[in-house]
Amino acid sequence: MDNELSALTVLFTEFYYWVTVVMMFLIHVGFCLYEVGVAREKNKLNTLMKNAMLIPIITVTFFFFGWWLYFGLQNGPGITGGLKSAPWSEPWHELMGPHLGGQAADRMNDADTATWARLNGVFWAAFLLFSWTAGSILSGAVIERIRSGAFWLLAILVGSVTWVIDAAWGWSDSGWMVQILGYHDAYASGVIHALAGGSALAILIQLGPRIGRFRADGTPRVLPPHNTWLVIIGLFMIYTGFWGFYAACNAPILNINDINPQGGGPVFSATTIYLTPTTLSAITLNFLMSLAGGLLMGYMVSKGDPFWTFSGGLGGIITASAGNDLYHPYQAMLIGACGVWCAYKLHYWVERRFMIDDAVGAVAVHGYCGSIGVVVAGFVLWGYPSSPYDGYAPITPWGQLLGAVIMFFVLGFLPCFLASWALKKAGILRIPWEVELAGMDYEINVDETEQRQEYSAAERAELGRRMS
Amino acid sequence: MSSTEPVDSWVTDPSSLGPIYPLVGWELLMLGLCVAFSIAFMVWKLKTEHEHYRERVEHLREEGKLAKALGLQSGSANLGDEMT
Repeated sequence: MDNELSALTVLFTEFYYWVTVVMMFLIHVGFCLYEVGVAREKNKLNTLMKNAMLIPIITVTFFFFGWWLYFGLQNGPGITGGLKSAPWSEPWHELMGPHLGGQAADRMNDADTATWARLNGVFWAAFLLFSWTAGSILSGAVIERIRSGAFWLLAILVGSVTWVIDAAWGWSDSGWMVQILGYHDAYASGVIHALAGGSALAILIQLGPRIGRFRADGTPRVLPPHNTWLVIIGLFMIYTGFWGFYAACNAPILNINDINPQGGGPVFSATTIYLTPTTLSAITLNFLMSLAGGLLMGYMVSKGDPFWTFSGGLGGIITASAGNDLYHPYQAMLIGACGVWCAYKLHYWVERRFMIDDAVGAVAVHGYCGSIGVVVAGFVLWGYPSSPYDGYAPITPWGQLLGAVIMFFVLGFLPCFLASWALKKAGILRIPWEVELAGMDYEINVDETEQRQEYSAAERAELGRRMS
Repeated sequence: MSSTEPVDSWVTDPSSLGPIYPLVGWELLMLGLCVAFSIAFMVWKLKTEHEHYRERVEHLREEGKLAKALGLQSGSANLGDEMT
């Protein structure tokens, strides 16, 4: 910050992330609309509040410990080193509040203080919005029968703990998975989507299906959305917010010759989270082509069903995201399309075989597409360097396969299976069957009916008075 | 004059300014208060939700209430197949 170029770089980066945060807010708006549209009329307000209150709950817990976990656990700890020092992320540190960067902060030098004073808040918020997304993915799958309190505890586990740990391991420039496995997941196929999908599957197993969802012979009944327009507008909002998500996965401007100096002058570029060079142009091409591939396949495989067509668009992006910094747009399109075909088939097979009631197809769109995307990137990007630093493993199919298992199963499925088992044992996971049948908004609906009846009676009385 | 703020004047060398929020040095206490409030919220929610559902189940088990909520004509005789 001591010359105009460095000041402009930092201030541009600060503004860039701020804009991504505002855009990503639309993801949450979209998820709320989507879920409320899918829920039946008798459950819509409860569905809305369950997801909306995830915002403050994950925000405060991510402030208390999530941000520190991201920096502290990048070595495992115990795999490539111990706990890492990151004073700026400690919840009591002066850089977690308004700070102008002029005085060296506790355990930090002048230059780092000046940079983190400007960037800590916007970096924190960008990661936080990813945390909301992870929690929101669970929210849709479990609607119409989970208790809000239990859901919020599970959302804290995923949004402020498990996804943050997997980001520390596999979505940072020095995470142990990147160093040892060559793990590559530039736009979070695995670290957000596979993890959240695995978590959702575990909770669904413990929670069980909605009453009446399956016939006596085990075949599923279809529960049409109560408002298809909310569902579709919600999915469009999620697409829109996804642009911000992609931008937030990049560092907008770095001198890449400074990262691992090889001689020569400065070269400025956007980079991925791994500090490998990329361009907004490249990821824009791939974002749209993978969206197109997903939409086409979603439409084809579901024979034009709107729900699966729009979900297919999302699934296409999610499948290609792991390698969308490097793929050719044709590859992004085909990978997106293949992921959606597999996820669609898997969804119905799992639903019928295991009677899993995933109300919005979250396990398929996020879990299966995300995991498939991580594995496919291992084959298509086989041999690419995973990092600009020396000594890191290259990208390989086996590194990516192990990475997908860690994301979907070890950090996704397992913790949520145990946590939801404990909540079930405590009797606080699922609402009583009487309430499920009557509807979660039963009391509100009864009150509103009485209020409307009283108002109508008053209007009729007034009419009678004026006509007499 | 005693004060909570670390800034006496904005007419100063800006490069000398560090934290500018009130009560610098009291962050741990503020953190403790916020953590306590957050935990209190979750405990309150879990307790009241449990109580709320208990009361609602009692209410719905009163004669005909559940059937009425489901829009059935009378009783709960038609629910048998769906209760498993």
